[in-house]
Amino acid sequence: MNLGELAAIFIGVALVNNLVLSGFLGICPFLGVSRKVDMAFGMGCAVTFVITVSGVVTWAIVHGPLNWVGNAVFGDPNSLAFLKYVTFIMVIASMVQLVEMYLKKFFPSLYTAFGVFLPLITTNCAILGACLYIDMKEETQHLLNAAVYAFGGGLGFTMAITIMAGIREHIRFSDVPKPLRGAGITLLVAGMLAMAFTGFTGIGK
Amino acid sequence: MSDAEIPPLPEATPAAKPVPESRSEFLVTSAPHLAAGVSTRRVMFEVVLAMVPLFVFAVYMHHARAVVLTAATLAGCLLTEVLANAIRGRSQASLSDGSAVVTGVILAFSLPPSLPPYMAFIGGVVAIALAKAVFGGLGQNLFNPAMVGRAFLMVCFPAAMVTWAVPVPLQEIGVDATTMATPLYAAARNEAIPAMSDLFVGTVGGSLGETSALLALIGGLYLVMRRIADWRQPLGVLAAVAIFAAIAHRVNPAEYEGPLFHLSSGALMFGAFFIATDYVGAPITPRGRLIFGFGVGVLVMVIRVFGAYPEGVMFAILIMNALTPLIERWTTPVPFGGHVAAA
Repeated sequence: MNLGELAAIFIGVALVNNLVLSGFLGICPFLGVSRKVDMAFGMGCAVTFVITVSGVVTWAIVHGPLNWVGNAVFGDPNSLAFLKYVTFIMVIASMVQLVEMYLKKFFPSLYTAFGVFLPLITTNCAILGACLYIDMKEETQHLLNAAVYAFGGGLGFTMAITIMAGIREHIRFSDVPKPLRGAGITLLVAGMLAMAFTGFTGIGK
Repeated sequence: MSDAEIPPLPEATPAAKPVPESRSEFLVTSAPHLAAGVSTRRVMFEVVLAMVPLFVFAVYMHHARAVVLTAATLAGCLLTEVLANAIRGRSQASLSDGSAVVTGVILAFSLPPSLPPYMAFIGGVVAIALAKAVFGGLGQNLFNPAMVGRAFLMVCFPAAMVTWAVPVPLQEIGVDATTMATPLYAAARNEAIPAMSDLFVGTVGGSLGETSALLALIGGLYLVMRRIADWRQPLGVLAAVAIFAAIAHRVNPAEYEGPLFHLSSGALMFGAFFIATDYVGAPITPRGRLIFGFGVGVLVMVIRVFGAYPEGVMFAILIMNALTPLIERWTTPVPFGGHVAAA
């Protein structure tokens, strides 16, 4: 674990293997909450918070209780691996509850603007994806690396959704053909954005 | 008051010169105005004119291939433009503004000379269809169409897009091969790079019309002097690349080439003057244009120095295109007297 390795992990997940633009995770809020830059940025911050905390907590659960109990009861640290999905979702859901209560109390306007998309952060596959990647990848078996990975993934998501919101505010004035308006043109733009981001391939290796 | 009580309007006296209904609604004439005579068509004509030397040089370097490739991309672009207009029930007026021609030529110049013509044709189709038509035509698109076409080809035909034919003049002086490494590719692998003079003039392997930094510079300066292209984007690009390359070269001269190499290699000069200055994809604010250019330069160098791709002009332009709305948002000039609260 050194600074260079952490930087490589961070750049890798934020730019090169961006969860949205390269992994195509979290497309639902990417399309649903990207109409306004302010809202998109708010959503990005909420996701970054949830992803960072969940990434660290799920790492701790896998490396702590799951491994110990599995080892003590069944003699194999991986014997409780089937519980990962359930526990990951539980952790993510409780983090989202936390964010929801916080926003409701301190940013009621943002809370109403998000509407159903706020509780839906629970089902944002970018978050579950990041937690599973952290569990799967060799370089994130260290706690600090896992935290950096989760935080980088969240920032990458925030960047992607903010760029997309800027674009969507911009093309509001474009004469897009009727069948393509809304989700159609957004997905096309997302594809072009993904092509552009392939340029970062190989950075941080 | 009922309708019957309204006095009838006086009969309008017929105007001496009948003005078309649709135009008269927008005619605001308070002061004597001077028509600048600048039309889309004229701008595009000037851009094509500035690219003629590059095309002549491409023909000198690659003979018939240059003509065939350019014809293929042009055919793809123009046919798609016609189709898009037809599908949306529009007049074919957009065909004569020359923007599709410029897209086709820029795309052709950015392709490897040995690319099969049908791939170039597909690139032209994608450039207009995916990057322009779906947004509603010229001026409403977001990404530079030629660069989207090239990125699409890069994703679909990766092998053909990195095969570089040896230019004909080099074959004649006895380079015994059919393909060769481009200077940037050689530099990325720490192999011998061509002499700086060859690099600047453009007698090296590389894309069809981008190898000559000299001719791109001449054409670009012509555009800047004619005020067709803004000086801000090229300045930003060149400054960022020079600074970045100087620092990298200073840190590790053995690994990284100096600023002169990076400025005159690849698509940099062409991209700085012809692609980054695209009116549509770049911000409209003056400060935003400088930032846009600087961002392109930095991204080019990040990809060249740290990335797996030897060249990054295309990716850099596309990424900065995507950031343009945000840059405009941050660089909107404050009106005299401060902002007025939105109504």
